Amino acid sequence: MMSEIYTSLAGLVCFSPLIGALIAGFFAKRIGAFGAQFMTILCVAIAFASALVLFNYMYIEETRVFNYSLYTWIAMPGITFEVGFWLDRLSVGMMLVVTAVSLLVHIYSMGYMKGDPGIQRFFAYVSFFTFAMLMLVGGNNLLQVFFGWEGVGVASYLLIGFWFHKDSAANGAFKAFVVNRVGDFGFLLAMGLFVTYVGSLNFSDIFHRIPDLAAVSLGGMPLIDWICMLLFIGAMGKSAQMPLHIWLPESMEGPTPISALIHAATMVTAGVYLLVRLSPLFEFSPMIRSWILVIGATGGLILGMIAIVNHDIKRVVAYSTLSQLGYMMAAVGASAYGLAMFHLITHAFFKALLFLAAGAVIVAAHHEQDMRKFGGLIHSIPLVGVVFAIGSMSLMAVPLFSGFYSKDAIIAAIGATSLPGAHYAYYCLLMGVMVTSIYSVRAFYLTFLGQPRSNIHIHELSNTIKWPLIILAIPSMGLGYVLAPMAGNLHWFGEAIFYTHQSVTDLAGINGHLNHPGSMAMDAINSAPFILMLLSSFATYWIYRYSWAEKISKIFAPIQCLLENKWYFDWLVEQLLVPFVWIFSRAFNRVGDQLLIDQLMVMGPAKLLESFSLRIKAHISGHLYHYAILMLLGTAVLISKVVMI
Amino acid sequence: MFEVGLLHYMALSGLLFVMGLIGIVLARKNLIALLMCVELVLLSVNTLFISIGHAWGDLTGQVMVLFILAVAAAETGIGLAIFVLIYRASDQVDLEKLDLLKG
Repeated sequence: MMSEIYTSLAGLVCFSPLIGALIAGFFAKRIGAFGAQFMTILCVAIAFASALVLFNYMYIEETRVFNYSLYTWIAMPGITFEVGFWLDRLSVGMMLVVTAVSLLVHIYSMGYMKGDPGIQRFFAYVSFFTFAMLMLVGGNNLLQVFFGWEGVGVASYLLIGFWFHKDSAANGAFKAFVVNRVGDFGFLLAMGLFVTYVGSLNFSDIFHRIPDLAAVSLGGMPLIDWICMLLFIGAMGKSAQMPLHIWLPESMEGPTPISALIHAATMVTAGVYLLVRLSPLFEFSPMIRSWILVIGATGGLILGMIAIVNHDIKRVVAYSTLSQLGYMMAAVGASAYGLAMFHLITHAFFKALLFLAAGAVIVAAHHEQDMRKFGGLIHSIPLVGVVFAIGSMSLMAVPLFSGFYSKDAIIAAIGATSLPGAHYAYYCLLMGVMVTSIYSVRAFYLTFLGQPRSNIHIHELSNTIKWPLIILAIPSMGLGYVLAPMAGNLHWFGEAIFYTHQSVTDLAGINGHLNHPGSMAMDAINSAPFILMLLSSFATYWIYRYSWAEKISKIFAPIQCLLENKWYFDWLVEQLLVPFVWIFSRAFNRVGDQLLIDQLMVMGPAKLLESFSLRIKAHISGHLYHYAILMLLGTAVLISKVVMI
Repeated sequence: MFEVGLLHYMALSGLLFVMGLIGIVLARKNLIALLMCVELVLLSVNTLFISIGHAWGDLTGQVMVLFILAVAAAETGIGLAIFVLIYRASDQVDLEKLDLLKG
């Protein structure tokens, strides 16, 4: 009985956005812009409500893991691929976040996309994205996760390139797609290893076989290390870790609600979610976790630094997303899976808020994104200024705001682990706090404070833009305080996350701290992250207050040059990889595609037939008596054969 | 008295058949002649049927001939209709000039 309820609820959560997408996509002309908006919002609201009910079952009524296969997709000797749901506290919590943010973004988009000719297409894509993301989150096997993984990739591609007539948007979409393929390749190889060594892609089978996997060695490295490495490469692509992060800033060419939903709150956190979901594997691979820690922390610091010199309000927020993803990854590396999810959840809300607020600024300023042209906007759009400040403070980890609990806990957890590289990661992330404060205060000051630097006629904001901002501001402030005692329990995701004994001892201290959010905020006042945050924010404020920015940038000219060129990552890729790939793909195109397939296999038989019939044709006179002779001769030959037999 | 036997009939039939074939192959001018030659071939077969049927005392041969005649009539009708159409389309029934299928 209960299992039927779960199945139908999970089905409602996953498939109602798909239905909305199909209706909005295929009946776009018939139902019109408003119909498409209404249907997709209704469907996502149904999904959100069902996720709430599931949340109630999982968290309040303490239901255990529910694993159900909906139907068998492919059955082969030795392996079956199924479509099913794996419901536990982790997936249901994630579903709730996805549907909540998606619902708000849908509503916000009504205002943001008003008057766009492709509005039905937009809503169809966003709903399709929600569906794919929920399939990724709820899947009970890796193949379904991969389906969702690719689905969100496609939706991201379509939405980044939504205004495809702009070259920059088309190129950004292309870049995102190609860079993600690199990561997906790792994911696919990992799935191949699972199929070979486990013979199944179902989570339940994989988790049962981990002790066996840990014993196997492949090419001098334990098999589990290979698997974890490949999975991490997959996560690096989707979650934009160094050096596969280069697509995320380009993705800002898409409409802003998309940046909030896909490139801040949900899709880019899919990689983190995947690693958390597979925590039983990663717990047995300390070496790869060490790498995750180092790569995540490095990204958390240096990618955030780029935001300091960027002038595009959306890209500043995008780089801060990269930096926060680094924090989450580092937390996964330090075995603090629960804290990674905690930061993922708080980040989903405050970063969605920041993006939507940035979008509101962009709408108000008639699609101007350059912060150098803003200034003093707090007087004209005070609501947006306030929510942007709330989002920024949450991002900067101001005590009592939600980002504070997750971020401080992550930094403390990394300080407490004993993995190689933990010290490096700890200092990177501490510096990262400073960097976060600098760019947050800078963005806020340049946009909302000071004197207007150009003549902007403020465009009136509609209610569908304002209300999602107000609603998102609430979890951005209070969610951390509410969730902190839960996150303080190592097992707040129930059985979804596995810890080794070592991790439990490492993390014990931090979690005790989180149980008292009030006193944690008080204690933070003399902790290193808080002091660094305070110093750097005030310093930044004074620098812009007294216009010292020019002078300071002259002193740090080399660093500024480095940052303005984004640490030369894009340059390196363009110089080293792109020509190489270009030559290869051109060779494959010429030899494989054009010569072998086009010329030989497709045109070959046709050409052969043509030349044959051209030769025959020369001897055809078209006279009836010639046909008659041939016919008679043929008959004679046939009859003589019959008679001979 | 010269007795006319089965062999004579068969020879006649063979003669008609060969004449018909030669006519079909050599007809270069007139479509009507071509059609007549086809008829000739059919009639030669008919002669053969009747004579052999008579010799063996079997009526099936003659029944067959009736069928063939019916088919031949239909075929001639269709053939003539085609010729009329050809004539309407190109104002002639000259076989030399009907070479639309020439390669």
